[in-house]
Amino acid sequence: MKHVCLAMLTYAAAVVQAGSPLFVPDGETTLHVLPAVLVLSLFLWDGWQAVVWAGIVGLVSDGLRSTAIGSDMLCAVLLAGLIVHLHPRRREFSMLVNLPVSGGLVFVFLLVSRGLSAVLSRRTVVAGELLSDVAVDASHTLIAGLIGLLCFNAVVSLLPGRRRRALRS
Amino acid sequence: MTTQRPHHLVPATLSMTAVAIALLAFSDRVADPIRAQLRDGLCPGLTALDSAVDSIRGAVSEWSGEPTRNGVAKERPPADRSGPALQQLRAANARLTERLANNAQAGTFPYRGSSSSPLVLTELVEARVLGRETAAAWRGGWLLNRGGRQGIEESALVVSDDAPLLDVGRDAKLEPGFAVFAGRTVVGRIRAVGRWSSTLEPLTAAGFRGHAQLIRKTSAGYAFGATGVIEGADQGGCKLKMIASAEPVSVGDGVYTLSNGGDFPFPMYYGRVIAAMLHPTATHWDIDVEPAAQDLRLRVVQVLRKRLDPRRVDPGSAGPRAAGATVRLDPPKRP
Repeated sequence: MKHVCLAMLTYAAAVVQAGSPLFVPDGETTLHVLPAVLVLSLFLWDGWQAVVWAGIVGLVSDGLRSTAIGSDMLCAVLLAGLIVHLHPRRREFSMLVNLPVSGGLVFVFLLVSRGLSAVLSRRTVVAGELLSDVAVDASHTLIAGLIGLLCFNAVVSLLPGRRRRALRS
Repeated sequence: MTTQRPHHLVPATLSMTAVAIALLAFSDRVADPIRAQLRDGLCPGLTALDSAVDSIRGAVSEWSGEPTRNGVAKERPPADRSGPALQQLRAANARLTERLANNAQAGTFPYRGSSSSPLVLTELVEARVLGRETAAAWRGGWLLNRGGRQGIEESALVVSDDAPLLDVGRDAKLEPGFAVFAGRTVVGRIRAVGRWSSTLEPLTAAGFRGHAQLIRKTSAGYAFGATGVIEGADQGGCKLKMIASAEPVSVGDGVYTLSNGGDFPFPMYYGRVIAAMLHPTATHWDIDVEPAAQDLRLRVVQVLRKRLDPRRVDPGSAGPRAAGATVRLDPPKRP
Protein backbone atom coordinates (compact mmCIF):
# COMPACT_ATOMS: atom_id res chain seq x y z
CA MET A 1 0.00 0.00 0.00
CA LYS A 2 2.80 2.38 0.93
CA HIS A 3 4.62 1.53 -2.29
CA VAL A 4 1.52 2.27 -4.38
CA CYS A 5 0.98 5.59 -2.60
CA LEU A 6 4.59 6.62 -3.04
CA ALA A 7 4.56 5.59 -6.71
CA MET A 8 1.49 7.78 -7.28
CA LEU A 9 3.08 10.62 -5.35
CA THR A 10 6.28 10.31 -7.38
CA TYR A 11 4.29 10.48 -10.62
CA ALA A 12 2.31 13.50 -9.43
CA ALA A 13 5.49 15.22 -8.23
CA ALA A 14 7.20 14.60 -11.57
CA VAL A 15 4.21 16.04 -13.44
CA VAL A 16 4.11 19.11 -11.22
CA GLN A 17 7.87 19.61 -11.48
CA ALA A 18 7.89 19.36 -15.28
CA GLY A 19 4.69 21.37 -15.77
CA SER A 20 5.27 24.05 -13.14
CA PRO A 21 6.68 26.68 -15.54
CA LEU A 22 3.28 26.69 -17.25
CA PHE A 23 1.33 27.77 -14.21
CA VAL A 24 3.73 29.85 -12.13
CA PRO A 25 3.24 33.57 -12.74
CA ASP A 26 6.71 34.30 -14.12
CA GLY A 27 6.69 31.34 -16.51
CA GLU A 28 10.26 30.42 -15.57
CA THR A 29 10.35 28.99 -12.06
CA THR A 30 10.45 25.24 -11.67
CA LEU A 31 8.99 23.85 -8.48
CA HIS A 32 11.32 21.08 -7.37
CA VAL A 33 8.84 18.73 -5.75
CA LEU A 34 10.64 15.43 -6.20
CA PRO A 35 13.08 16.00 -3.30
CA ALA A 36 10.01 16.20 -1.04
CA VAL A 37 9.07 12.68 -2.14
CA LEU A 38 12.63 11.61 -1.40
CA VAL A 39 12.31 12.95 2.15
CA LEU A 40 8.92 11.30 2.53
CA SER A 41 10.37 7.92 1.56
CA LEU A 42 12.86 8.30 4.42
CA PHE A 43 10.02 8.69 6.89
CA LEU A 44 8.00 5.79 5.50
CA TRP A 45 10.66 3.09 5.80
CA ASP A 46 13.49 2.28 8.15
CA GLY A 47 15.91 0.36 5.98
CA TRP A 48 16.80 -0.62 2.46
CA GLN A 49 13.38 0.26 1.02
CA ALA A 50 14.09 3.93 1.71
CA VAL A 51 17.35 3.72 -0.22
CA VAL A 52 15.74 1.94 -3.17
CA TRP A 53 12.95 4.48 -3.31
CA ALA A 54 15.50 7.30 -3.10
CA GLY A 55 17.19 5.77 -6.14
CA ILE A 56 13.91 5.61 -8.05
CA VAL A 57 13.04 9.21 -7.21
CA GLY A 58 16.56 10.27 -8.18
CA LEU A 59 16.24 8.47 -11.50
CA VAL A 60 12.92 10.19 -12.23
CA SER A 61 14.52 13.51 -11.33
CA ASP A 62 17.37 12.69 -13.71
CA GLY A 63 14.88 11.95 -16.48
CA LEU A 64 13.45 15.44 -16.21
CA ARG A 65 16.82 17.09 -16.56
CA SER A 66 18.77 17.96 -19.65
CA THR A 67 22.16 16.95 -18.21
CA ALA A 68 23.90 13.59 -17.67
CA ILE A 69 21.64 10.90 -16.30
CA GLY A 70 22.51 9.26 -12.98
CA SER A 71 23.77 12.27 -11.04
CA ASP A 72 20.54 12.87 -9.11
CA MET A 73 20.19 9.16 -8.48
CA LEU A 74 23.70 8.99 -7.05
CA CYS A 75 23.10 11.98 -4.76
CA ALA A 76 19.74 10.65 -3.61
CA VAL A 77 21.04 7.14 -2.85
CA LEU A 78 24.10 8.34 -0.96
CA LEU A 79 22.13 10.89 1.06
CA ALA A 80 19.39 8.38 1.86
CA GLY A 81 21.94 5.77 2.90
CA LEU A 82 23.66 8.32 5.10
CA ILE A 83 20.45 9.51 6.75
CA VAL A 84 19.16 5.98 7.35
CA HIS A 85 22.52 5.04 8.84
CA LEU A 86 23.03 8.11 11.02
CA HIS A 87 19.46 8.83 12.05
CA PRO A 88 17.85 5.42 12.58
CA ARG A 89 15.34 6.70 15.13
CA ARG A 90 13.98 9.48 12.93
CA ARG A 91 10.55 7.86 12.58
CA GLU A 92 9.98 8.05 16.31
CA PHE A 93 9.79 11.85 16.12
CA SER A 94 7.11 13.96 14.55
CA MET A 95 7.61 15.66 11.18
CA LEU A 96 7.93 19.05 12.88
CA VAL A 97 10.91 17.81 14.89
CA ASN A 98 12.37 16.40 11.71
CA LEU A 99 11.72 19.54 9.67
CA PRO A 100 15.30 20.90 10.06
CA VAL A 101 16.66 17.51 9.04
CA SER A 102 14.32 17.42 6.02
CA GLY A 103 15.21 20.98 5.04
CA GLY A 104 18.90 20.27 5.35
CA LEU A 105 18.53 17.10 3.34
CA VAL A 106 16.68 18.85 0.51
CA PHE A 107 19.22 21.69 0.50
CA VAL A 108 22.19 19.32 0.40
CA PHE A 109 20.53 17.16 -2.27
CA LEU A 110 19.86 20.12 -4.58
CA LEU A 111 23.30 21.62 -3.94
CA VAL A 112 25.25 18.43 -4.57
CA SER A 113 23.13 17.46 -7.55
CA ARG A 114 23.56 20.84 -9.24
CA GLY A 115 27.23 21.02 -8.42
CA LEU A 116 27.73 17.55 -9.86
CA SER A 117 25.75 18.45 -13.00
CA ALA A 118 27.85 21.57 -13.47
CA VAL A 119 31.06 19.57 -13.08
CA LEU A 120 29.88 16.85 -15.47
CA SER A 121 28.84 19.34 -18.13
CA ARG A 122 32.00 21.41 -17.56
CA ARG A 123 30.12 24.59 -16.83
CA THR A 124 31.16 27.42 -14.59
CA VAL A 125 28.72 28.33 -11.85
CA VAL A 126 28.94 31.25 -9.48
CA ALA A 127 28.90 29.90 -5.93
CA GLY A 128 26.76 32.75 -4.56
CA GLU A 129 24.12 32.38 -7.27
CA LEU A 130 24.10 28.61 -6.88
CA LEU A 131 23.60 28.85 -3.11
CA SER A 132 20.83 31.42 -3.37
CA ASP A 133 19.07 29.47 -6.14
CA VAL A 134 19.32 26.26 -4.16
CA ALA A 135 18.02 27.98 -1.01
CA VAL A 136 14.98 29.33 -2.89
CA ASP A 137 14.30 25.96 -4.53
CA ALA A 138 14.74 24.13 -1.23
CA SER A 139 12.22 26.42 0.45
CA HIS A 140 9.76 25.75 -2.41
CA THR A 141 10.36 22.03 -1.96
CA LEU A 142 9.75 22.19 1.77
CA ILE A 143 6.51 24.12 1.32
CA ALA A 144 5.40 21.66 -1.34
CA GLY A 145 6.43 18.81 0.94
CA LEU A 146 4.41 20.14 3.84
CA ILE A 147 1.38 20.59 1.59
CA GLY A 148 1.92 17.07 0.27
CA LEU A 149 2.20 15.72 3.80
CA LEU A 150 -1.09 17.36 4.78
CA CYS A 151 -2.76 15.88 1.68
CA PHE A 152 -1.20 12.49 2.44
CA ASN A 153 -2.50 12.57 6.02
CA ALA A 154 -5.91 13.63 4.77
CA VAL A 155 -6.00 10.68 2.36
CA VAL A 156 -4.77 8.30 5.06
CA SER A 157 -7.45 9.48 7.46
CA LEU A 158 -10.10 8.57 4.89
CA LEU A 159 -8.84 4.98 4.61
CA PRO A 160 -10.39 2.13 6.63
CA GLY A 161 -8.75 1.47 10.01
CA ARG A 162 -6.88 -1.67 9.00
CA ARG A 163 -5.35 -0.13 5.89
CA ARG A 164 -4.54 3.03 7.84
CA ARG A 165 -2.62 1.04 10.44
CA ALA A 166 -0.84 -0.86 7.69
CA LEU A 167 0.17 2.40 6.04
CA ARG A 168 1.47 3.96 9.23
CA SER A 169 3.25 0.88 10.54
CA MET B 1 23.39 0.71 24.56
CA THR B 2 23.74 -0.05 20.89
CA THR B 3 21.38 0.92 18.10
CA GLN B 4 20.38 -1.86 15.74
CA ARG B 5 21.15 -0.97 12.14
CA PRO B 6 18.52 -1.76 9.48
CA HIS B 7 19.02 -4.99 7.56
CA HIS B 8 20.32 -4.98 4.00
CA LEU B 9 21.08 -1.27 4.14
CA VAL B 10 24.69 -1.49 2.99
CA PRO B 11 24.05 -3.94 0.10
CA ALA B 12 21.07 -1.86 -1.07
CA THR B 13 23.06 1.37 -0.93
CA LEU B 14 26.03 -0.15 -2.71
CA SER B 15 23.96 -1.74 -5.47
CA MET B 16 21.92 1.42 -6.11
CA THR B 17 25.14 3.45 -6.10
CA ALA B 18 26.60 1.05 -8.64
CA VAL B 19 23.52 1.46 -10.86
CA ALA B 20 23.79 5.24 -10.63
CA ILE B 21 27.49 5.21 -11.49
CA ALA B 22 26.84 2.84 -14.40
CA LEU B 23 24.14 5.21 -15.69
CA LEU B 24 26.56 8.12 -15.36
CA ALA B 25 29.26 6.20 -17.18
CA PHE B 26 26.99 5.25 -20.07
CA SER B 27 24.92 8.40 -19.98
CA ASP B 28 25.47 9.16 -23.65
CA ARG B 29 23.91 5.85 -24.68
CA VAL B 30 21.13 5.36 -22.17
CA ALA B 31 20.01 8.90 -21.37
CA ASP B 32 17.87 9.48 -24.46
CA PRO B 33 15.87 6.20 -24.32
CA ILE B 34 15.24 6.56 -20.57
CA ARG B 35 14.18 10.17 -20.93
CA ALA B 36 11.96 9.39 -23.91
CA GLN B 37 10.17 6.64 -21.95
CA LEU B 38 9.75 8.92 -18.95
CA ARG B 39 8.44 11.80 -21.03
CA ASP B 40 5.96 9.55 -22.80
CA GLY B 41 4.85 8.20 -19.43
CA LEU B 42 4.35 11.70 -18.05
CA CYS B 43 2.46 12.87 -21.15
CA PRO B 44 -1.05 11.96 -19.86
CA GLY B 45 -0.41 13.65 -16.52
CA LEU B 46 1.05 16.74 -18.14
CA THR B 47 -1.87 16.94 -20.58
CA ALA B 48 -4.31 16.72 -17.68
CA LEU B 49 -2.40 19.39 -15.79
CA ASP B 50 -2.34 21.59 -18.88
CA SER B 51 -6.09 21.24 -19.32
CA ALA B 52 -6.68 22.02 -15.66
CA VAL B 53 -4.47 25.12 -15.84
CA ASP B 54 -6.27 26.29 -18.99
CA SER B 55 -9.66 25.79 -17.36
CA ILE B 56 -8.63 27.72 -14.27
CA ARG B 57 -7.11 30.51 -16.36
CA GLY B 58 -10.22 30.68 -18.52
CA ALA B 59 -12.44 30.87 -15.46
CA VAL B 60 -10.28 33.57 -13.89
CA SER B 61 -10.18 35.57 -17.13
CA GLU B 62 -13.92 35.27 -17.54
CA TRP B 63 -14.43 36.41 -13.99
CA SER B 64 -12.08 39.38 -14.38
CA GLY B 65 -13.36 40.28 -17.88
CA GLU B 66 -9.93 39.95 -19.48
CA PRO B 67 -10.01 39.09 -23.21
CA THR B 68 -8.81 35.55 -23.98
CA ARG B 69 -7.94 33.52 -27.05
CA ASN B 70 -9.46 30.05 -27.04
CA GLY B 71 -9.78 30.16 -23.31
CA VAL B 72 -6.10 30.91 -22.83
CA ALA B 73 -4.87 34.29 -21.73
CA LYS B 74 -3.03 35.94 -24.59
CA GLU B 75 0.73 35.61 -24.52
CA ARG B 76 2.99 38.56 -24.09
CA PRO B 77 4.09 40.23 -27.31
CA PRO B 78 7.60 39.47 -28.52
CA ALA B 79 10.45 41.60 -27.29
CA ASP B 80 11.15 42.84 -30.78
CA ARG B 81 9.02 45.94 -31.08
CA SER B 82 8.78 45.65 -34.86
CA GLY B 83 6.27 42.83 -34.45
CA PRO B 84 5.59 39.73 -36.51
CA ALA B 85 3.88 41.63 -39.33
CA LEU B 86 6.96 43.71 -40.03
CA GLN B 87 9.20 40.64 -39.90
CA GLN B 88 6.99 38.93 -42.44
CA LEU B 89 6.90 41.98 -44.68
CA ARG B 90 10.68 42.28 -44.55
CA ALA B 91 11.10 38.65 -45.55
CA ALA B 92 8.58 39.03 -48.37
CA ASN B 93 10.21 42.24 -49.54
CA ALA B 94 13.69 40.70 -49.53
CA ARG B 95 12.47 37.68 -51.42
CA LEU B 96 10.75 39.76 -54.09
CA THR B 97 13.79 42.01 -54.40
CA GLU B 98 15.96 38.94 -54.94
CA ARG B 99 13.66 37.56 -57.62
CA LEU B 100 13.49 40.94 -59.32
CA ALA B 101 17.27 41.13 -59.39
CA ASN B 102 17.53 37.58 -60.73
CA ASN B 103 15.05 38.34 -63.49
CA ALA B 104 16.83 41.52 -64.41
CA GLN B 105 20.17 39.73 -64.54
CA ALA B 106 19.15 36.57 -66.33
CA GLY B 107 16.33 37.92 -68.41
CA THR B 108 13.21 36.01 -69.26
CA PHE B 109 13.68 32.42 -70.35
CA PRO B 110 12.15 32.00 -73.83
CA TYR B 111 10.57 28.63 -73.04
CA ARG B 112 7.86 28.23 -70.53
CA GLY B 113 8.20 25.29 -68.15
CA SER B 114 5.31 23.35 -66.70
CA SER B 115 5.03 23.27 -62.94
CA SER B 116 4.69 19.97 -61.09
CA SER B 117 3.99 19.10 -57.50
CA PRO B 118 7.15 19.09 -55.33
CA LEU B 119 8.70 15.79 -54.26
CA VAL B 120 9.21 16.89 -50.67
CA LEU B 121 6.25 18.41 -48.89
CA THR B 122 6.83 20.77 -46.01
CA GLU B 123 4.29 20.76 -43.23
CA LEU B 124 3.84 22.42 -39.91
CA VAL B 125 2.65 20.20 -37.07
CA GLU B 126 0.97 21.99 -34.22
CA ALA B 127 2.30 20.98 -30.82
CA ARG B 128 1.39 22.02 -27.32
CA VAL B 129 4.01 22.89 -24.72
CA LEU B 130 3.46 20.63 -21.74
CA GLY B 131 6.32 21.47 -19.44
CA ARG B 132 9.97 22.06 -19.09
CA GLU B 133 13.09 20.10 -18.32
CA THR B 134 14.83 21.23 -15.19
CA ALA B 135 18.32 22.56 -15.56
CA ALA B 136 20.90 23.66 -13.06
CA ALA B 137 22.01 27.14 -13.96
CA TRP B 138 20.78 27.37 -17.49
CA ARG B 139 17.61 26.98 -19.48
CA GLY B 140 16.28 23.51 -20.07
CA GLY B 141 14.27 22.35 -23.03
CA TRP B 142 10.50 22.46 -23.33
CA LEU B 143 8.39 19.32 -23.48
CA LEU B 144 5.98 19.03 -26.43
CA ASN B 145 3.01 16.74 -26.83
CA ARG B 146 3.99 15.52 -30.29
CA GLY B 147 6.52 12.81 -31.01
CA GLY B 148 7.67 10.24 -33.52
CA ARG B 149 4.11 9.06 -34.07
CA GLN B 150 3.31 12.43 -35.62
CA GLY B 151 6.35 12.39 -37.88
CA ILE B 152 8.46 14.70 -35.74
CA GLU B 153 12.18 14.22 -36.24
CA GLU B 154 15.20 15.39 -34.34
CA SER B 155 16.69 18.76 -35.32
CA ALA B 156 13.41 19.90 -36.91
CA LEU B 157 12.96 23.63 -36.49
CA VAL B 158 10.13 24.94 -34.33
CA VAL B 159 8.34 28.21 -34.93
CA SER B 160 5.92 30.22 -32.86
CA ASP B 161 2.22 29.93 -33.45
CA ASP B 162 1.58 33.52 -34.51
CA ALA B 163 -1.79 33.96 -36.14
CA PRO B 164 -1.62 34.94 -39.81
CA LEU B 165 -1.26 38.66 -39.77
CA LEU B 166 -0.95 39.58 -43.41
CA ASP B 167 -3.81 40.07 -45.75
CA VAL B 168 -1.84 40.47 -48.95
CA GLY B 169 -1.45 37.71 -51.44
CA ARG B 170 -2.40 37.48 -55.06
CA ASP B 171 -2.52 41.22 -55.51
CA ALA B 172 1.10 41.40 -54.35
CA LYS B 173 2.11 38.46 -56.58
CA LEU B 174 2.78 36.29 -53.56
CA GLU B 175 2.25 32.56 -53.72
CA PRO B 176 -0.06 30.75 -51.31
CA GLY B 177 1.58 30.09 -47.98
CA PHE B 178 4.43 32.49 -48.45
CA ALA B 179 2.84 35.57 -46.96
CA VAL B 180 1.47 33.64 -44.04
CA PHE B 181 4.49 31.61 -43.10
CA ALA B 182 7.46 33.69 -44.07
CA GLY B 183 8.91 35.66 -41.21
CA ARG B 184 7.57 33.49 -38.43
CA THR B 185 9.62 33.53 -35.27
CA VAL B 186 11.96 30.58 -34.79
CA VAL B 187 11.67 29.29 -31.25
CA GLY B 188 14.21 26.48 -31.38
CA ARG B 189 14.55 22.99 -32.71
CA ILE B 190 13.59 19.46 -31.68
CA ARG B 191 16.31 17.89 -29.56
CA ALA B 192 14.90 14.47 -28.67
CA VAL B 193 11.85 12.61 -29.93
CA GLY B 194 9.80 10.05 -28.06
CA ARG B 195 6.78 8.15 -29.24
CA TRP B 196 4.23 10.70 -28.08
CA SER B 197 6.37 13.57 -26.89
CA SER B 198 9.52 15.45 -27.74
CA THR B 199 11.74 18.16 -26.33
CA LEU B 200 12.33 21.56 -27.79
CA GLU B 201 15.81 23.04 -27.52
CA PRO B 202 15.43 26.80 -27.22
CA LEU B 203 17.20 29.13 -29.61
CA THR B 204 19.27 30.48 -26.73
CA ALA B 205 20.53 27.07 -25.50
CA ALA B 206 24.26 26.55 -25.65
CA GLY B 207 24.02 23.69 -28.13
CA PHE B 208 21.76 25.42 -30.64
CA ARG B 209 23.29 26.09 -34.06
CA GLY B 210 21.66 26.94 -37.33
CA HIS B 211 22.29 28.62 -40.63
CA ALA B 212 21.25 32.24 -40.68
CA GLN B 213 21.09 35.10 -43.09
CA LEU B 214 20.94 38.83 -42.59
CA ILE B 215 18.23 40.94 -44.14
CA ARG B 216 19.17 44.58 -44.33
CA LYS B 217 17.56 47.69 -45.66
CA THR B 218 18.89 49.05 -48.93
CA SER B 219 17.79 51.81 -51.27
CA ALA B 220 15.91 49.20 -53.32
CA GLY B 221 14.08 47.82 -50.30
CA TYR B 222 15.04 44.95 -48.05
CA ALA B 223 17.69 42.59 -49.37
CA PHE B 224 19.33 39.38 -48.27
CA GLY B 225 22.79 39.92 -46.88
CA ALA B 226 25.59 37.69 -45.69
CA THR B 227 24.99 34.15 -44.43
CA GLY B 228 26.48 32.79 -41.23
CA VAL B 229 25.83 30.52 -38.28
CA ILE B 230 23.64 31.51 -35.35
CA GLU B 231 24.53 29.99 -31.96
CA GLY B 232 22.82 30.07 -28.60
CA ALA B 233 24.87 32.07 -26.13
CA ASP B 234 23.27 30.46 -23.06
CA GLN B 235 22.67 33.83 -21.39
CA GLY B 236 19.35 34.61 -23.04
CA GLY B 237 20.97 35.80 -26.26
CA CYS B 238 22.53 34.50 -29.45
CA LYS B 239 25.71 35.06 -31.43
CA LEU B 240 25.90 35.31 -35.19
CA LYS B 241 29.22 33.92 -36.42
CA MET B 242 31.08 33.33 -39.66
CA ILE B 243 30.10 36.67 -41.16
CA ALA B 244 33.13 37.90 -43.06
CA SER B 245 34.50 41.32 -42.16
CA ALA B 246 33.98 42.50 -45.76
CA GLU B 247 30.20 42.10 -45.43
CA PRO B 248 28.10 45.08 -44.39
CA VAL B 249 26.42 44.62 -41.00
CA SER B 250 24.58 47.17 -38.93
CA VAL B 251 22.59 47.22 -35.71
CA GLY B 252 18.92 46.54 -36.36
CA ASP B 253 19.45 44.15 -39.27
CA GLY B 254 17.06 41.20 -39.19
CA VAL B 255 18.42 37.68 -38.85
CA TYR B 256 16.46 34.98 -40.69
CA THR B 257 16.85 31.37 -41.76
CA LEU B 258 18.32 30.86 -45.21
CA SER B 259 16.05 31.92 -48.03
CA ASN B 260 17.32 29.22 -50.39
CA GLY B 261 18.45 25.72 -49.52
CA GLY B 262 17.61 26.03 -45.84
CA ASP B 263 15.28 23.96 -43.72
CA PHE B 264 12.32 26.17 -44.55
CA PRO B 265 11.10 27.04 -48.02
CA PHE B 266 10.71 30.60 -46.77
CA PRO B 267 12.90 32.67 -44.46
CA MET B 268 11.87 32.54 -40.81
CA TYR B 269 12.80 35.13 -38.23
CA TYR B 270 15.45 34.56 -35.57
CA GLY B 271 15.82 38.07 -34.18
CA ARG B 272 17.71 41.28 -34.80
CA VAL B 273 21.28 42.45 -34.50
CA ILE B 274 21.79 44.46 -31.31
CA ALA B 275 25.58 44.78 -31.38
CA ALA B 276 28.16 44.28 -34.10
CA MET B 277 31.87 44.69 -33.48
CA LEU B 278 34.79 44.29 -35.82
CA HIS B 279 38.23 44.21 -34.28
CA PRO B 280 41.05 45.64 -36.43
CA THR B 281 42.72 42.27 -37.01
CA ALA B 282 39.59 40.11 -37.05
CA THR B 283 38.45 38.34 -40.20
CA HIS B 284 34.86 37.92 -38.99
CA TRP B 285 32.29 40.07 -37.26
CA ASP B 286 31.40 39.58 -33.60
CA ILE B 287 27.62 39.96 -33.67
CA ASP B 288 25.10 39.78 -30.82
CA VAL B 289 21.54 38.86 -31.76
CA GLU B 290 18.45 39.48 -29.65
CA PRO B 291 16.17 36.48 -30.27
CA ALA B 292 12.57 37.46 -30.91
CA ALA B 293 11.35 34.35 -29.12
CA GLN B 294 13.12 34.91 -25.82
CA ASP B 295 10.23 36.62 -24.09
CA LEU B 296 7.42 34.60 -25.61
CA ARG B 297 5.40 32.54 -23.18
CA LEU B 298 5.00 29.47 -25.29
CA ARG B 299 1.85 27.40 -25.13
CA VAL B 300 1.43 26.27 -28.71
CA VAL B 301 4.21 25.98 -31.28
CA GLN B 302 4.53 24.55 -34.76
CA VAL B 303 7.12 22.00 -35.79
CA LEU B 304 8.36 21.76 -39.34
CA ARG B 305 8.34 18.32 -40.82
CA LYS B 306 9.16 17.13 -44.28
CA ARG B 307 7.79 14.11 -46.05
CA LEU B 308 7.81 12.74 -49.53
CA ASP B 309 4.77 13.53 -51.59
CA PRO B 310 2.92 10.18 -51.79
CA ARG B 311 1.47 11.14 -55.17
CA ARG B 312 4.99 11.45 -56.58
CA VAL B 313 6.39 8.37 -54.84
CA ASP B 314 3.43 6.07 -55.39
CA PRO B 315 0.82 7.59 -57.69
CA GLY B 316 -1.66 4.82 -56.83
CA SER B 317 -2.05 5.69 -53.17
CA ALA B 318 -2.28 8.89 -51.23
CA GLY B 319 -0.33 7.36 -48.33
CA PRO B 320 -1.13 7.53 -44.66
CA ARG B 321 -1.18 10.89 -43.03
CA ALA B 322 0.21 11.14 -39.56
CA ALA B 323 -2.04 12.38 -36.82
CA GLY B 324 -2.02 16.02 -35.75
CA ALA B 325 -3.19 19.28 -37.18
CA THR B 326 -1.02 20.05 -40.18
CA VAL B 327 -0.72 22.89 -42.61
CA ARG B 328 0.98 22.36 -45.94
CA LEU B 329 3.48 24.91 -47.15
CA ASP B 330 3.52 25.18 -50.92
CA PRO B 331 6.85 26.52 -52.10
CA PRO B 332 6.69 29.33 -54.61
CA LYS B 333 6.21 28.14 -58.17
CA ARG B 334 9.16 28.70 -60.42
CA PRO B 335 8.40 30.62 -63.58
